[in-house]
Amino acid sequence: MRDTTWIGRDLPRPDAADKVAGRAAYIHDLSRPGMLWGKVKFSEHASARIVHIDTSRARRLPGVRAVITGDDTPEIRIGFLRDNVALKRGRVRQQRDEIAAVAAIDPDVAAEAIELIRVEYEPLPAVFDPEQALHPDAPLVHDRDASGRPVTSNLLPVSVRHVSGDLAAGERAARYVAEGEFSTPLIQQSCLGTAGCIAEFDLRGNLTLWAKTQIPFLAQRDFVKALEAMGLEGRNARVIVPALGGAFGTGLDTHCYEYIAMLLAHRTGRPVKMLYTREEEFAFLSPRQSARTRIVQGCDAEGRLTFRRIDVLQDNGAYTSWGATYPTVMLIPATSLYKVANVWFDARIVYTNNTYAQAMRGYGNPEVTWPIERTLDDLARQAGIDPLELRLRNVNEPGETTPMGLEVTTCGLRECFDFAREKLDWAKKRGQQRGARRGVGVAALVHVGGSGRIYRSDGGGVILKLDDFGNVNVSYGGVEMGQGLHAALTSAVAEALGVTPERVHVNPTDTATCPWDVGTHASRGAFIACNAAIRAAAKARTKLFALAAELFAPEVARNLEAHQRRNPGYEPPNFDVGAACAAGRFQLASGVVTLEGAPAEPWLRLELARLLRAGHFRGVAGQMIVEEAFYEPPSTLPDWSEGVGNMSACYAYGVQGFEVEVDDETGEVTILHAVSAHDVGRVLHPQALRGQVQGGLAQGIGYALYEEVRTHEGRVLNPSFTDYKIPTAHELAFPVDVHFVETDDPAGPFGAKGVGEPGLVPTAPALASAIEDAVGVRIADLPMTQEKIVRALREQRAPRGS
Amino acid sequence: MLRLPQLQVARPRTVEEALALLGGEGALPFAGGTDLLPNLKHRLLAPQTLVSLAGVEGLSGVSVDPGGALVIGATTRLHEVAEHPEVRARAPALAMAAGLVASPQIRRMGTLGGNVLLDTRCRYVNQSAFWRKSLGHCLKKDGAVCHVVPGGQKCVAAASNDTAPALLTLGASLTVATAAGTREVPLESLWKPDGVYNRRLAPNELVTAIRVPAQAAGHRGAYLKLRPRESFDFPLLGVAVRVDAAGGVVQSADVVVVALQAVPRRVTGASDELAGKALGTQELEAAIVAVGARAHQQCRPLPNVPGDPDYRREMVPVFVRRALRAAAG
Ligand SMILES: Cc1cc2nc3c(=O)[nH]c(=O)nc-3n(C[C@H](O)[C@H](O)[C@H](O)COP(=O)(O)OP(=O)(O)OC[C@H]3O[C@@H](n4cnc5c(N)ncnc54)[C@H](O)[C@@H]3O)c2cc1C
Ligand code: SF4
Repeated sequence: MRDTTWIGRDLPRPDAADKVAGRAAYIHDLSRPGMLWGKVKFSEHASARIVHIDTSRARRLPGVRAVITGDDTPEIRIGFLRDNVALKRGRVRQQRDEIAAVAAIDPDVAAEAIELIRVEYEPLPAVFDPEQALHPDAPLVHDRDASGRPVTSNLLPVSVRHVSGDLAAGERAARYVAEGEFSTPLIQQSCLGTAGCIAEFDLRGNLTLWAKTQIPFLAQRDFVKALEAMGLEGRNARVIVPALGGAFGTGLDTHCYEYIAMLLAHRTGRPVKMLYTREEEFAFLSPRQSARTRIVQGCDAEGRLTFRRIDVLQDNGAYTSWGATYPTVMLIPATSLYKVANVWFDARIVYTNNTYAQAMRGYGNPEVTWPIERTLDDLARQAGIDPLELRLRNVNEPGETTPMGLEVTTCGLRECFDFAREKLDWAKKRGQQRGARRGVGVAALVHVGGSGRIYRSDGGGVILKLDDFGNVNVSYGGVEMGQGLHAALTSAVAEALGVTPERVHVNPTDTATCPWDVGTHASRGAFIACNAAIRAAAKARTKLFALAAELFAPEVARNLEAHQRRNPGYEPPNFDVGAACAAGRFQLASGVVTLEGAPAEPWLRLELARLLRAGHFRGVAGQMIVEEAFYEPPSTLPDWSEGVGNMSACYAYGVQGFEVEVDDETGEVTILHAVSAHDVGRVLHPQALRGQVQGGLAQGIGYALYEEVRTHEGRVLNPSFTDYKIPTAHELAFPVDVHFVETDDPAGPFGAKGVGEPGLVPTAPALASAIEDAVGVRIADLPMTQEKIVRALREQRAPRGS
Repeated sequence: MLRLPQLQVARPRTVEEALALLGGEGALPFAGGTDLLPNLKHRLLAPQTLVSLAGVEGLSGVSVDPGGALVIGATTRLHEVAEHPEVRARAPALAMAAGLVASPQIRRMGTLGGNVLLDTRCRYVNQSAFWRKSLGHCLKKDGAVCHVVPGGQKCVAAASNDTAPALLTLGASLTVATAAGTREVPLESLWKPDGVYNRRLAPNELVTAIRVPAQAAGHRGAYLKLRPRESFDFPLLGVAVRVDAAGGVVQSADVVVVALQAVPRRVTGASDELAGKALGTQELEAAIVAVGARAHQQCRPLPNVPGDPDYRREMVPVFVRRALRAAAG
């Protein structure tokens, strides 16, 4: 591993102080001159014909500047299947459909105006269960596709399949088989900062949108298309991203409210701000997709996996977000978590009249890791092999090419298991503490670690702009949403360029100033940004050293004169500066240019800022250092119909483990100890990394034990943090042993892999395994609430039918 | 953030001023506001004036009267109630209950008076105005049906205040100031089985203090609650117990359960089972189990607050047993 100065050093996060002190400006804090407030009128039915909308009273309310509906605005289609429209016309398909919107002088007037809009509905049949939605008699959520062709089923035209090896042969080779049906719930991403935007047009029809997005450039593309639909061909949509209070996948799509803000801003000629309340965020923004999974897998007598079959049914809700492409990532654990030769994977995604769902951290991975890891415990029990040992017998290794075609460059999974085994005192504790109702469990993960190619370009660019004072301003098109991207990027730029981190300033993300980036998903932010930064820094160093070749000698000659004036009689050591310069033997570190092999005389050190000024103020030859590099990772866009392709430049692995105590009367689970070991390639910024891993762990605990958006006939029943439970500091007050395995991946910046999502992925199955070890119950449907644990305990005591 | 409706806030300095203000149209007392503000944001109430009790003299603090009764000012913060040595010594169930309300932040805002007078809760009513409208309103607010008990004519929203059952086991009363003078209202007669408004107290009457009489010799008490997380949550079930055991033998006992229906419910027969049993004996443990069984028989949680009602019912004997053991132990 390369020696480094800043990489891996425990530096404070550059954004921490402003965030802690309440100085960072979120969308909630932003205002524009003359700004109006927008608000949406949502549907009260999950499936209905809109008979009539009466906006007359709302229009007459003083302070209202515009009231719009689908009937008096251009149709703006959104989503990759174009099955959603910003303002609905004639028909609603989910509880939260946008029917009308107002712009008013303040939020209270806007809310009052919304109340005054009267909508007459004619309820239509609806379907809320994905299984039922597949029934031939089920009402069709959409009877036509975006291009007007009639459709005959609620099945989405999105197919991801994978068949490799010989499933039948794998089944024959299996001595033990485990199977089951599992499910993962609809959950809320629970961003502390709710959704919102400001849309503003200039007088030439160009749009600026301050947006809570993770995909500024794909969003720009969507918004430009919307401008075309509004008759504004050839106009620009500039996207600016304010500080984000979390995104977790909510920012991977553009949302109806953003287009509605655009329509209102265009109609009124004034900037329009939209801000969701917490209730609106819960009920009217897309939660994480829910999934039902059938799994069968088997192993031979020694515990080696011989086959795995997974069938997924995903509830899409009424419209399609990128969340419908979960199966592209589900393929990774399905085919490549542990060595398994014969694999079948099929996913069906179904329209229902439920709230349409979108992506969240892990993007399909936890949904499939859950059944894989749970049934591995079952296999271990059948085979009489310790569950951790069984996993080690199938552990992934470097050099492996998995059934999906993933090329495993580096892999520290075994080391992660070793750490967990030791810290959990596995040999002493697993299966040994039933009397105390205590148990331990582990689970592993594999995820993309070198971005995930789901788009033609998976790249991103970085611009480094050096100024007269030695500052390095960094522009990158991805998004800091709390994960610590700017921290990692700051360390990487400092390291790669040779300056101190205090001199590095990462600019706010703005499509007008930052180079293109596909978006901050797939744990790719730091991986892509730092790789691009390394390349841009190399270019900048080449330019700087070319400048130095001309300017270093005269500048240090002046240094020497000054030095001699201050130290009369000083004799410089015998070193030929000119020759060293001519040979280009420059070094740049911590913002100081020196010559290799030069004596450590102070006058032989040239501050970077002085070199930059010397380059700038040299008359007609004056020069600025602004360098750009675009990094495209070495990966391939998989063929989704086959489910094969090396979609990432490298892969991240990890193991999480828990020790729990279960109250067998109330079902309460108390976590006593957690272990989180991750193959991160290389630690870029320790604080940010620990935050990512521990945050993921915390979120995973919510997923495992508490969280579920409960719905009835499409209506969200618990749209508030009073009724929707996420873990608080109190529930997380247990020790966590965090460990990073550094495998130094050749594709990674300084060897690092992306680690944004992994912390969440194996948390639920590891907890489930520990709960099972403690009290012997198995729960297939997340979350594992107290109720479910008590019910399972009751069934355990009195088996069904007795 | 949901927005508050437009309203006035009045800041009286004395009980008399407060009463005068409360006599006005659409006025409500405003203590910690931790129940009132969410309900206002949800448009469950539409007062014109909130009469802030924060600056009213003499409403806060804990004292012990010459007869050994605890007198707790209505606006005493729950945190102070939970930590106060006199409360902990004389009314341990109350201290425990106050210490288990919501979260530390809310216990530093919320008052004991506000907790006693907490509005009933229901998963169909503690929602935004839009949400309730889209479901078609209900008896408690603007509607004619009940979503918990289909066809039901009476609102069964749950009394969800943690201190209520504890105060009932302690025989507490409220000191109520009205324009006509001051009266003492025993908690026994405060609540009525109507979830729409479950207090026999006009919304503009002012509670000035909560009075907990001196307890019998050998008094012990406890309060335990079921909740999804240990932090933050309203009770899905709350159980308060009193065990008076002078000389190490139970003389009398009481068990009251909250978060079932619109009123806290007393489990009958607790004294019959427990009286005469010596602490620390098998007999007592058997009697505790029997009280749990009685409670299970008598208590039927409704699907009014979140949490599976069958599970909540199953937890009744568990929490009754645990609370009795905690008090007797
Ligand atoms: C997130 C959250 C969690 C919560 N969890 C719990 C919980 O676990 N357990 C629980 O019991 N409560 C809980 N609460 C409710 C509330 O915080 C407490 O019940 C608190 O004690 C209420 O007191 P307050 O002073 O804030 O009341 P307020 O909101 O000020 O008042 C409540 C009601 O009492 C009336 N009132 C208040 N004082 C007087 C008085 N002196 N005379 C006459 N009328 C008066 C008010 O008009 C109002 O109707 C929770 C609240 C929140 C927001
Ligand atoms: S119990 Fe029935 S009437 Fe009362 S609040 Fe709940 S739904 Fe409404």
